[in-house]
Amino acid sequence: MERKLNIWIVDDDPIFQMIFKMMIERVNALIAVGQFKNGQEAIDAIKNIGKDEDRIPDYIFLDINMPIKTGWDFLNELPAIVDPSFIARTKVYIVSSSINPEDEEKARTYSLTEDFLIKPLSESLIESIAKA
Amino acid sequence: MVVEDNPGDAEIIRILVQDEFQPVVAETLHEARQLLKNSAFDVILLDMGLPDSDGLETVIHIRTTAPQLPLVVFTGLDDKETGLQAIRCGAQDYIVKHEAMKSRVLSKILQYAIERQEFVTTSRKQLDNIRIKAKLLENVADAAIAVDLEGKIIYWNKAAEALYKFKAAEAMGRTIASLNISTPNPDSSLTDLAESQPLDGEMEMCDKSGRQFTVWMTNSPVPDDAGGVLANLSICRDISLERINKRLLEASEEKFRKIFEFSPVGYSLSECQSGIYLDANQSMLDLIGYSKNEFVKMSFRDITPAKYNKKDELAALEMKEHGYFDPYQKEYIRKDGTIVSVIVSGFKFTHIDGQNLFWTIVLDVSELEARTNDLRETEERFKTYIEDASDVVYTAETNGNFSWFSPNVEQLTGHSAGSLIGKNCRDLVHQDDQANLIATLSTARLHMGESQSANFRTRQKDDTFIWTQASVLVRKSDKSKYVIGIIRNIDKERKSELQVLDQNKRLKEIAFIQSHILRRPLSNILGVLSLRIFTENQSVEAARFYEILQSEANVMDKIILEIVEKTAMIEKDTNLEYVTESIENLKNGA
Repeated sequence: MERKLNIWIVDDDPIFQMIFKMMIERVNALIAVGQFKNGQEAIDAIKNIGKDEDRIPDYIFLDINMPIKTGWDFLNELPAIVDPSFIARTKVYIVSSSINPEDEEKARTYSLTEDFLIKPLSESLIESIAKA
Repeated sequence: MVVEDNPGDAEIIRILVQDEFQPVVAETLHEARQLLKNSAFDVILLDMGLPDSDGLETVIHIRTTAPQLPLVVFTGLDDKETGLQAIRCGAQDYIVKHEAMKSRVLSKILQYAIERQEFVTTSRKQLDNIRIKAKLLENVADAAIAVDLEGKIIYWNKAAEALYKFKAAEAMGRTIASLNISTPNPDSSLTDLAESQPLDGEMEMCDKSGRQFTVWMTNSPVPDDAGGVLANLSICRDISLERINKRLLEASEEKFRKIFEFSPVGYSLSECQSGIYLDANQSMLDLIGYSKNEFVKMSFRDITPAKYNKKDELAALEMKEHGYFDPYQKEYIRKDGTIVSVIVSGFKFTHIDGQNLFWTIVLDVSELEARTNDLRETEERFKTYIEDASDVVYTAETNGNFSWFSPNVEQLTGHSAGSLIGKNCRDLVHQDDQANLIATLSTARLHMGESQSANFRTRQKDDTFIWTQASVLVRKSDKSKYVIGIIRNIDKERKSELQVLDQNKRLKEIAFIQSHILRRPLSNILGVLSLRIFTENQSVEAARFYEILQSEANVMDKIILEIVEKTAMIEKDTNLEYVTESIENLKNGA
């Protein structure tokens, strides 16, 4: 059986969560979408994955400004709690409604991040990711 | 004295002459000589035949003993020849002895002999006198030439030989014209010496070899005893050399006259006692505006403002004591009443006629003074500028050691200008700016004459730092290079700049935050619309409304983007490099 694509959304905005999930599902119903309200929740989830490789996310769409633990905090903490196989497999996208170039520059300083995406995300972008 | 060995004859003679003479008899030559040595006699009557001498020999002996005494000798009968021989040997007369004894003529003969001898002696004296005079004339330095009335040369001294190169032997008896020593000059009167009274004066002559020269000739007639003219004596002095010297002197005078006349410096000649001007050159006249005629009637007092009287008096005293006075500055009043500023110096001298005069050398310094004033004003302005300017001006050696500071450095740094001299610029610059300083200095050294500028933090006396902008310029003077520069306090500018930056940054942040806040719901709306879930199975009209909603939301998003971009532009207007550098510097220096 083909492994389901595992996509996480870490965002405190429930509307964005909803829209994003709908978009993904419209492209590919087989994709599993994990939803987390802040960085802390995502960290906790990663810690619970353990050795189960199927649960390792293929993509993490990470918001920056979140309560409890921001996207930056998450990125800072991540390398310490995951195996290299996680790093190799997971692609992290920063998703923000900020158009501040400083945020984009900062995002690029993390080797983990794949790209800096500005909301709203276009359907074609979701398609290119989900179909890959 | 009667020299007679025959006592009878002697007695006769004594009787014959006793009325006029007191005869003393000597019988031998020896006796006669003894007598001549011891006594004075008027005349000697000599018998040549003596026991100890005979004939002419006796005459010679007597003449040797008494060369000046008149001498009459006895001769024998018809012995005229012996008598003549005796006369040739120095006797004045002779008489036949036989005749003498018989007549009374003897006394007369003796008398004549005495007179004749006297005449001879006198003549000889006169002759000697003439010879001495001739000798004097012979040896004088000037050429002496005498011509007789026929124009023939009768005298030609050694100096004449030397001057005209003709030997006396060549010249004697010839005429001046035949010697061809006078140049064909109408004024020359030497050729006419015989005809008329020649004039004294300069004459062009030439010598045997043809060399021409000038003589000063003095002519004087030589009178004879009868009151007529015997000859003409010309004394000629070669004055060629004197003439050359005179010409040189004249040329030299001419030269100095020209210097005097054409000198840009004013010269005036005054009489010591009265101070009255005697002469002045054109420069002096131009300077004070009087003509020479007007000028020479005035004294220096007439053209000097009263306030310089004391100075002038001091100069006069100095000149009296030392012969000159040192330069001093004073003023003259021009003819038109204006004042001219001058520097005068002078010296006194005694003129040929014994008058005490003095020269005054006058230099017009009014223009110089005006320029000096201009310069002084410029300097004042510059000084004022420097002193009033907040910019600190400094000079330093190329190694960075300060050599001069404008006084306002104290306001900037708290250090006095004096205390910084000799210190190195590194001592004043913040540790972190040292590299920048060294780089700036070496660039300035490399591009001499070009100003290099950089910002440094400058250490103040209390060890705090202020931001300064320093410009550095390396200059070359004579042999050495030096640094000249300006230090400007930019601390306030820097701080306000940073303030602006800070404000801008905050503004930008606000813009981003606002945009973020706005864009968050907006992006959600756009996201929802992009799902098109509500457009399915709707009427065309409703679908159009959704499209409108979507495009309006997009417009809104673009507006937000534009607003944010424009806010961010504020930052771009300021010098980004500068800002970045400032921030970096601040961070490093903090």
